[in-house]
Amino acid sequence: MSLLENAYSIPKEVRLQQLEDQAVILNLKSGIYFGLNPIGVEVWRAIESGAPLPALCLRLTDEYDVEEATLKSDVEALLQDLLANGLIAQ
Amino acid sequence: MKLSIKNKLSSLPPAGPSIQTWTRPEGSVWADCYRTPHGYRLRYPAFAEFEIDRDNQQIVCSPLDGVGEDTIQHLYTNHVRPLAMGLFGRPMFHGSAVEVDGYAVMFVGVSGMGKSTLALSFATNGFPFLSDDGLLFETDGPSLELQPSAPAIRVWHDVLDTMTPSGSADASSVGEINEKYSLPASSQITYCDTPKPVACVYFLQDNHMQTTSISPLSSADSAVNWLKNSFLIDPTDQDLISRQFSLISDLAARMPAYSLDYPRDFAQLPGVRQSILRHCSTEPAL
Repeated sequence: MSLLENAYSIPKEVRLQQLEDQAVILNLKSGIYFGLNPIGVEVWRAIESGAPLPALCLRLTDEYDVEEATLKSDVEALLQDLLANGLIAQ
Repeated sequence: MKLSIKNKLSSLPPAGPSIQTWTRPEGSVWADCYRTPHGYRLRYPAFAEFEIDRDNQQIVCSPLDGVGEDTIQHLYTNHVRPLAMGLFGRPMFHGSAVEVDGYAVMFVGVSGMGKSTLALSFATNGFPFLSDDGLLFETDGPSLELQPSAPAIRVWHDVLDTMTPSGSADASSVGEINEKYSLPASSQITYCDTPKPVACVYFLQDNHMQTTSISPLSSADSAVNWLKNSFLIDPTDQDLISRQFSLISDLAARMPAYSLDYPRDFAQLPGVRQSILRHCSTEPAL
């Protein structure tokens, strides 16, 4: 199953600081930090609000004029990174 | 914040395990940090212990027998104070700074990236240095200002031999701590002792470039770089880290930031300096 189909939560020790259209997230417990580009910020906001990621991908495909397959693969790679670094949880 | 020296080491053993350890390249402990009921104890096993009283903003040092005052001052200025300031809402960062046309231009990076070499190169060519390491900002006023730090630049022997106008005549060894030499401010190594508004920051990279390369960073990338180069006394204190994260993000949003890579070749430093001056002269602040 694609990572996009899963539901995610944000651990309570993770903080985000938005800077213009980008952001930095930091896990206060592990000290791991991570920069998010504008699409990453959209993904983060969707996770925060519990919005479905496949629908987000469709919207972003239009907005950013990018191939759907490319965008989905980029978002999946981001989810993998965030999971591996304890910045989101399943 | 006040530093006082007492002559006897505390008889109390450090309570609990250390929360952070700094090691030498060969693996031995250079310093470690413990929580105490009133703050923190920083232990430098070969030199001294420093007790940081968080409530009263006081630091008390207990040197080991035979450790010189210069060594204590060096530890305080370059490690203890930068770590302690974060507790009082004023995080400090690994970076040097020079004054260009009345503004502070900063070079930020971990040890060995060339901060001091760049600061010395500017300071010996008409651009006074504000800091060799340990950047501290004044954020309350309308403009973001950088505070000057100690009036000396610490360099390795190769820099001392190649770049100082008067050779090593004025340099003193920081030998008890490491193999660096301390070059005091002088008429040839000019120093700026007043706070200056910030122009921009360059985060130093070393990818073995043959030419100078400068590229803009987003505020988010700048925040990541500030985080990487910040002093943090207690990596287990989530409230402290959260506050520091918020201050760093604010800082990143308030100044232009660039990535700077340049050839690590003393002969090319005049050209590197010119490239930086040409670049920073386009900053709105300058």
